[in-house]
Amino acid sequence: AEFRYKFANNFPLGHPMNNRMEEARDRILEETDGRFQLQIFPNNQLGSDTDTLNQVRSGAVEFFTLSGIILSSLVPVASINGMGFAFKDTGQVWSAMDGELGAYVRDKIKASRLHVMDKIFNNGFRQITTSTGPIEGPESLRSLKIRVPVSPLWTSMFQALGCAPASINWNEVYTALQSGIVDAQENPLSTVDVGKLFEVQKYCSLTNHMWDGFWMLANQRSWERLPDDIKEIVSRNIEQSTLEQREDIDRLNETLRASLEEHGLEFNEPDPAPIREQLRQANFYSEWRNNYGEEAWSLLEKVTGPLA
Amino acid sequence: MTVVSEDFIVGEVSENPEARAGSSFMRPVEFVSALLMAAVVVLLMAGVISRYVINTPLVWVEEAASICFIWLAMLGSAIALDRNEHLRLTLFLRLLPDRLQGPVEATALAAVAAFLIGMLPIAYEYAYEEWFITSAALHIPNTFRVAGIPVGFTMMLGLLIAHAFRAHSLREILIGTLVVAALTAIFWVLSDQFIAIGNVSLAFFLVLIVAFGLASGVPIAFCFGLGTLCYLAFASYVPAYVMIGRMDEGMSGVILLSVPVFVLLGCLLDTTGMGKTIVDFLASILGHVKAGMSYVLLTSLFIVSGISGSKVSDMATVAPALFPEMKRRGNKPPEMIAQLATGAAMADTVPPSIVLIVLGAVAGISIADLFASGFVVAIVLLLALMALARWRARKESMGGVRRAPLKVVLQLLVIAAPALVLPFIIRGAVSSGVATATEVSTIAVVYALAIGIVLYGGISYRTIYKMLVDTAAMSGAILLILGTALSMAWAITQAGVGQTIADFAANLPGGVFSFIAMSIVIFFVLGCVLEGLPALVLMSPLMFPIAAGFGMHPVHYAMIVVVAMNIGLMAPPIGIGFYLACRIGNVPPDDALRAIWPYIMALVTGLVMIAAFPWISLSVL
Ligand code: NA
Ligand code: NA
Repeated sequence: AEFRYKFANNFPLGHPMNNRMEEARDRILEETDGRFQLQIFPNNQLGSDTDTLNQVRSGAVEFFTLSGIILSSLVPVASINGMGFAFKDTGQVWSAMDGELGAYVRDKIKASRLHVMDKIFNNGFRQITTSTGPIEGPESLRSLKIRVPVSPLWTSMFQALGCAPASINWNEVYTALQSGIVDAQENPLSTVDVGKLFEVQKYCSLTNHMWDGFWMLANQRSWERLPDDIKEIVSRNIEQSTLEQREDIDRLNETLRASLEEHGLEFNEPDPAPIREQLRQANFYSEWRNNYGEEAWSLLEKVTGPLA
Repeated sequence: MTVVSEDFIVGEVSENPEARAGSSFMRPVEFVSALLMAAVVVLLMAGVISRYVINTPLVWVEEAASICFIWLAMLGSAIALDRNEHLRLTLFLRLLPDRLQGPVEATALAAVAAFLIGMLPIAYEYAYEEWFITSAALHIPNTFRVAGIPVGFTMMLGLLIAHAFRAHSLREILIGTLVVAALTAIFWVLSDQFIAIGNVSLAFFLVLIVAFGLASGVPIAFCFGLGTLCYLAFASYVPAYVMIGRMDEGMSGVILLSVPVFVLLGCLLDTTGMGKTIVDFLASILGHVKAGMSYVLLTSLFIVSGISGSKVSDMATVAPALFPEMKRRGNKPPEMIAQLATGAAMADTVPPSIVLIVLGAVAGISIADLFASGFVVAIVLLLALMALARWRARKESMGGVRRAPLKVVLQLLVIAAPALVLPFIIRGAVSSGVATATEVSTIAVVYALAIGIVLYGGISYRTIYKMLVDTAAMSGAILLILGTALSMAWAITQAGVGQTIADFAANLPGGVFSFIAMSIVIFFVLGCVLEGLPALVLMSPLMFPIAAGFGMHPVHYAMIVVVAMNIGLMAPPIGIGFYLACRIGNVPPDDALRAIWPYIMALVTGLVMIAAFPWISLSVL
């Protein structure tokens, strides 16, 4: 192939993102008559998220999907899609992320010398699992020892909720939950399933507290090196796969609940309103409005209604 | 009780004849390293207290510790270079005629210098680019963290040049420089050809350069680094810049933080005499048994592996605590290293095990099942190693040794009791959820320090300072190997050779039998060159579906590949685990090279049994 580009991501093979990107790879290869070949590196094979972000900036890998929340270390506003209890459902998510808010975020990403595809992949809403008891409202979150990924949005939100958020390396999370170093963790259901966390957790509360999605980033020079016709074929096929992946994830989350219940997780669906109220009283929203700036915040509230 | 000599030197039992005393101009660097080492202990301790005692975890602690850690690793590497403590093989060098040794060694130095010169600009660029990344917990530019890398490389280059002019004649330096310059020029000219032949050049650079480097006495860490740098620079379009990021990740993983702290613990135990009381007590029970101390060593590894999930950490827990006294008692260092390395490979599947957790996630297998099975598999391997140790000790003369009378045993038990409870404290702290495997090392250090001062006659500040510096140097030598090995793993992974290998294994004649045999070979070789995790993450998603197609139980197959990979990791002359064991146990690799093979064969025997009898792995599911 004339262009052989690497695509790195942190999902295992068999995850909808990799399934759909394998299809995209095959379609692109065919439509470009073999001129463009995408090589997929799943599972963080090429490095952790933070280091792969480095690699896509330097051109060591050409494509990389990254959670907006993690990307915020480079592009602060990119974490806005994870704003706590902002979106009611995926419908709202797509009108924000395919609309003005998404465009605003993409502009900021491009300003930091990265190319980004128009559509964001779906990672679904994040849920809380615990070994101590279901999350029923703000009281059950108070003093809860919960593992969260280290990122400002996560820590500030769980601190505002009165939790005791702890940073634990992902590879140690299973053991930490097993020995009770922490009692809880939060992730999309698919991660709970992949990490076998149901073996060491009892309850799963469908809090839908954050929505997480993955931007398809590309190294700017590698992207611009492509002839226009190939750019068009690649963009179009990745977009098609993104839209299909979005639906896959929604379907997967429905079947996952059943299979995780079979593995012994007890599910409940707490009312988000009192938790959101707690966040408001802790000035969580007004603090983040200041961090993101009025423009980004108003684009968010245009879709979600007033938060702060 | 035990008298502690003021002039005690931690390295006194070192078998490394090449180690030099540190240069005086490195004193400020040593001072900073000691501070960083102390800071790591204090920070981790603060993490435990804030989370467990006052239930308000400090999220920034881990990040702060990791900043100290990468600086510690780089400054420690520089100190290790100054003291000539980076591990290298001199076996082949010594086979050369005398008049060739000087020029070859000078060439090796020039090669290391070339590596450092190649890395310097990209390390600075990396530190600059990280200015745009805000750290997640402390909200500071990441440059504060990664600047340790260019600073460390600069220091190492300076030290190297200074050493070259001290140790070699101008003529030798000139020859060395010319050879390296000529090779660089040839590679550069042939660059297009190298790119054209694709993955063949990957093999060329990673096998030949690493092998030549090893043979000519280039330290192992730089062999990996040179091979990778040459491949990326001359045989690919990938910017070599990526190496800095990989080294950064390989050297500052949170899980590795426990390594220097456990090494420090070992120094403390030895200096206070607590290590001696432990060994005295164990010897009073087992001294009259042939291979008694080998049993102690192997069982200790099995037990501590139930605490941490990492092999390096297991070795760092056991060796510094037991080795100095065992060496004084006349146990043979090469034999001890062989048992340490293969014992760590054996114990790796004892739960918890990071390798099994990652494998569970990557290949979609129940981690609880893997843990249960891993425990049994480790016992099988433990028995194999013990049997070999016993057989090798068959000619040990036990004439002068009589079983210690019960009264003496009890006396020693009383003296050793405060030290002997240490493993139980560690174990208890982890299993009751007080501390992570990383943090527990600091609890042990604080305990040993307190008990050492109160009960065992104290330690002077000077000795503590020296321990901190020595620990920094040893950690630097260990972490630099891990860092360059991870960048080599990246080069292999990105070349996309995994699928080719998997297809080859799937289509062998001979069905499931030859597939298993080929899997063992593949994971053995990949374990050798890729370190543990990268090999698993690369190959498992490709190999497990094939195994399932042959009707194998995934847990059975998992045990086969993990054990094969761990054996490969410990197999010299490439397996990096072997070098880490030598560094941690303070024994030159040349000496341990031969002693380890019988033990590797014992593990292989165990592996063949595990592969042939699936019920061993599956009995407890
Ligand atoms: Na273990
Ligand atoms: Na272990």
